[in-house]
Amino acid sequence: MKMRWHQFANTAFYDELITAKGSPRAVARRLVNLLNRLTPSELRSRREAMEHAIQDMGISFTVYDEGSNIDRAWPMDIIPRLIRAAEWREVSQGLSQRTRALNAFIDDVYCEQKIFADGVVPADIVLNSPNFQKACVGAKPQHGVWANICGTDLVRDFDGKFYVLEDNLRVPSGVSYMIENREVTKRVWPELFQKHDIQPVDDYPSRLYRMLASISPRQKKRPCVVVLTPGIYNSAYFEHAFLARAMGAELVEGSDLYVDQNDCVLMRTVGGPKKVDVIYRRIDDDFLDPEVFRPDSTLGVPGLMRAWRANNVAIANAPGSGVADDKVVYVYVDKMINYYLGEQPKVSSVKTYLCNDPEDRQFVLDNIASLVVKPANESGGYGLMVGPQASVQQHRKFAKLIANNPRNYIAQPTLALSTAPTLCGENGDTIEPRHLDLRPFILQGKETWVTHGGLTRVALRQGSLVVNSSQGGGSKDTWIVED
Amino acid sequence: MLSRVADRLYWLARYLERSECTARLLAAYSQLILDAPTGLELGWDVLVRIIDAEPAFNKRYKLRSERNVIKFIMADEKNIGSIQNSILNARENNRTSRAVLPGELWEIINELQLFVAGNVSQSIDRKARFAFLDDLTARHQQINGLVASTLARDDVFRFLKFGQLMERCDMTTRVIDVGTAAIRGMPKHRELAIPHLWSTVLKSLSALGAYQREVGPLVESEEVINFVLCSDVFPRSLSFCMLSVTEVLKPLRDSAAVTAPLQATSSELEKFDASKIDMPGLHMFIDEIQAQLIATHNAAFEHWFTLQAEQLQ
Repeated sequence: MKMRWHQFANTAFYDELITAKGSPRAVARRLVNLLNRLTPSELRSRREAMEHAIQDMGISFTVYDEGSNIDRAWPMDIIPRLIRAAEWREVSQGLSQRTRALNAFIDDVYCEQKIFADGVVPADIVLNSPNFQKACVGAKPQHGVWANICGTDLVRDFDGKFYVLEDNLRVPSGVSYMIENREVTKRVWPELFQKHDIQPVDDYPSRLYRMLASISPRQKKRPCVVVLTPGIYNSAYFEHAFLARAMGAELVEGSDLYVDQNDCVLMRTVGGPKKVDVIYRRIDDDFLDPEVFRPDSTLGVPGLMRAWRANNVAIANAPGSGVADDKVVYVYVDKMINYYLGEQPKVSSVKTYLCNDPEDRQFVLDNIASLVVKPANESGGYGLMVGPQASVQQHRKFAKLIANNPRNYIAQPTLALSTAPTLCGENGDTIEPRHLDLRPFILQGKETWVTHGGLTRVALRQGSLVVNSSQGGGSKDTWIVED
Repeated sequence: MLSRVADRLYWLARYLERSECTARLLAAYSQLILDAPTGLELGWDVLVRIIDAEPAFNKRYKLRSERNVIKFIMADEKNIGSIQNSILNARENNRTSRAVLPGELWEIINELQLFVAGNVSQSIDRKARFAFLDDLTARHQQINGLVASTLARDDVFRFLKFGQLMERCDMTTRVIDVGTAAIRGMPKHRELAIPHLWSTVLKSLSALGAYQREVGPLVESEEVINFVLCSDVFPRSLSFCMLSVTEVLKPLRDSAAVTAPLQATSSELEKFDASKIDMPGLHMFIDEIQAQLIATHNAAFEHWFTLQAEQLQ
């Protein structure tokens, strides 16, 4: 098939597989050669094979408010995204470093608050944040680690360098799709796996279990680990079930658990009550315990915070971890790395303007048409404005929002998000560049560990920068390839 | 095993078994109609009586035609026991039990659901119906095979077997009850067709081959009823299923209390002989068995599926 690779050349973006001259990068040479050899109908039939595999394997995600059709096939692109192993080693060291610093920060915030006293981070922006949970002050999670599972969003700018876009420290999702995408690509491109040395991704569940076991209050060979889900209507239910099964852990809902008079957490089983050691929770802080947080929550477990504070159960991520998952706190992460670890950051953050700061705010208002403005506390790509793609009315609307509530907004330069060749077109047989990001997952318990690659999310609409699956994004398998 | 998950596995297996039994019943009856001697007035409404859904059917349709009955049983969304709805319900329970089922098993149940959703409404006509029912039964057998050959003998297995066997007992008793009444109600001059009808009853329960080897080539009413209810070698007989439930649940806490009604029925079945009982007597006997099945279901609910914190402490 004659590929129009020249459309990837000399663009304003870095392409993951094709150089600015329109030739394949060294890491992608075999893949591109194979694509060149395929006829359009061969390409189509591979794509159909992929769609069948996704359907048969039941890989789905859930969309709200669609009546009975709440379960949708997972959108995935057939062409993988390749990264050199040597490059990934450096990135993963940076991610590990960043997570360790963030955990040191959360522990400090809820215990000694030295970083405020030393004037590195202003106390008020943290203590007045809705993510700061008073109920967590003085708690002592195992190993001093709060955010045990971290999903860090990376993007590659025009210069080809990776930048951290945001840290997700509450209940980051997507890791099961990283694993399933690999299963699907193995079925679709078996010949490529013979020719490449690709790092595996399916060891994540056992790493996760090992990490969760390492934070158990009871030192047992096989502590009782459960995954706490809000239930079948949650958009990530597929993932909750996937991880529970892969870890051999029970997938529980709030109503399956209760806290007894000794502040221990028990689950209701056919054999009677059973003590729970570690809860990998996939529900937000607000819903965890109606005695402490939202009293109307039916998803959580009354008394859970008592049990946690008494160190009778571990909760991952620990309640209150979201305090460091705030786009305003993000600005200080590079300083935290220096402050807590005495090191220089190995992965850069994106230059960020705090609307709370008068000087920054003026800059943002003056340059709003060229910046990305984000609310400090939203996730999933909601409520953000991409200046160059927005109308003048939207610029005005956001200027007003910022003026009314400066603490709630930050702004960043519009990054030239990298692209990768993606199967597009009505017939699914043309290859075009599409923007993407990457979400690796970092586990920290007794030790720290980073996934080999992560979940690549791709904006399927031409020119779009929004990669979230709830908003028309797709995904790609990500290969970390030894040279 | 979580109480909530045990409940869902039980229902998953019940819905799957309901779909499989219904498929066998429809296939056997459709075949019977094909080569029924001319003049033998066989209606389709007997199927509606077997699945115990006459009121729901009458609300939906005036005419008890082949098309209406088959559509009602296979693909009617208003019939809670239709194949389509059984599979939809199985789907929900499969989704919520995903975390405890092996991936391969989860996947073939998922494929079964896609198959039924994609084909059931185009398979009402006779021509497409046989192929659909054959395929459906084969897919159920694939699931049964995977359960038998790969599932660990733990609580997941126990609750799946429990649900499956309970549904099978339920269906078997209803086929015998309604089938016997229908056959014995035939006009005298149609007696020649009766062995043919009893063969269909056996076929619909996948029991014909086993009956022929165990009992012999002559298909006679009392022998059929005795075989289907009491055989201790045929794994789909009522007695065999009830003993299997007791056996498979034994390691569970409170299993004696839950299976007590079944054990009582098993002792009754040991003494049972169809040749010594008349039609109303048989009907009453089956009603009692149904009551014991319901009692077992309720006991499982109380002891295993709906545990309250207060009961546990």
